[in-house]
Amino acid sequence: MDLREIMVNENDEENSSALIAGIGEELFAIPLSSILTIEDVAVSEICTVGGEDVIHLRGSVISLVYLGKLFESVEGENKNNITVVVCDYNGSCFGLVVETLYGQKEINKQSLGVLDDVNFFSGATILDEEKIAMILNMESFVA
Amino acid sequence: MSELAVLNQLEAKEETKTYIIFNVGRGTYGIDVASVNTIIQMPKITRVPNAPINYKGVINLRGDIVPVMSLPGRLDAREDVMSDETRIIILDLEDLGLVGVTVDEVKEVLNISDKELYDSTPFEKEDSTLVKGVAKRGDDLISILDIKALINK
Repeated sequence: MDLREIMVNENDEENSSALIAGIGEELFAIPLSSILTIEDVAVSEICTVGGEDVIHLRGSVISLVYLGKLFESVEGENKNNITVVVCDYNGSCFGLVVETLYGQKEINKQSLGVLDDVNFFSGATILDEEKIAMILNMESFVA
Repeated sequence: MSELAVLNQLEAKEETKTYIIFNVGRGTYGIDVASVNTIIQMPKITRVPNAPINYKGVINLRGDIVPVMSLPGRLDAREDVMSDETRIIILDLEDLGLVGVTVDEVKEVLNISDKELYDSTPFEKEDSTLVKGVAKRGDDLISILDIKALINK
């Protein structure tokens, strides 16, 4: 497995940095403070436990959440490797499977107005070039 | 003097409001202009996964994120048909923020007095219908929409 780690600044809780990830044409923002590590995982290394896909990471078992399937996004071709963003929320770990990584950006969270109670999202942010990224709500993955 | 007093009393009971008139499918509808923030041409809409049905997603309105609902979907249960005339009417719902609604064509602005409005249906209770009243102009029937009921929150 290829290991890439991001240094997390503990003080940056409010409204600040996120990892921008893409699935197909759609963009999502993952709060940096929730990210433990990013892994490049070979499909052959994915195991199944209780009907769910998991990976082994340094002695821990991390459940995988396929965002493309969850959000019914139009995905690219199946590859031999998947990109997993391993996150932590209140001690629970899970791995978000995304297609493309676009790097770290300062984000400005905006409410979704009447849509602010939609599951999985805590808001949206406008990136450069007018593109909109949906900000993921980490709590919703730990149900 | 007494005639003037009577006239004032009559006017106070009857209000004329200004409405933006637009088409959705084969229906003509009106929305109180007081709730209208702006009307724009179709921008890029970013999908919001898991949004309630009829919500197309969000748009970037001069730096603000605004959710957009499809009126052809909400009123006619059909897909939007995009044309050069398609518009988004941005409504100001005060504490609920701004919401955009897609319409097939914006036609005109009309003044309609409350006197002209007929009840849309004698069968349904007022609070369960989207249409506050129906006005007749020429051969057209204009359904005046209740915006709060439309967004339904």
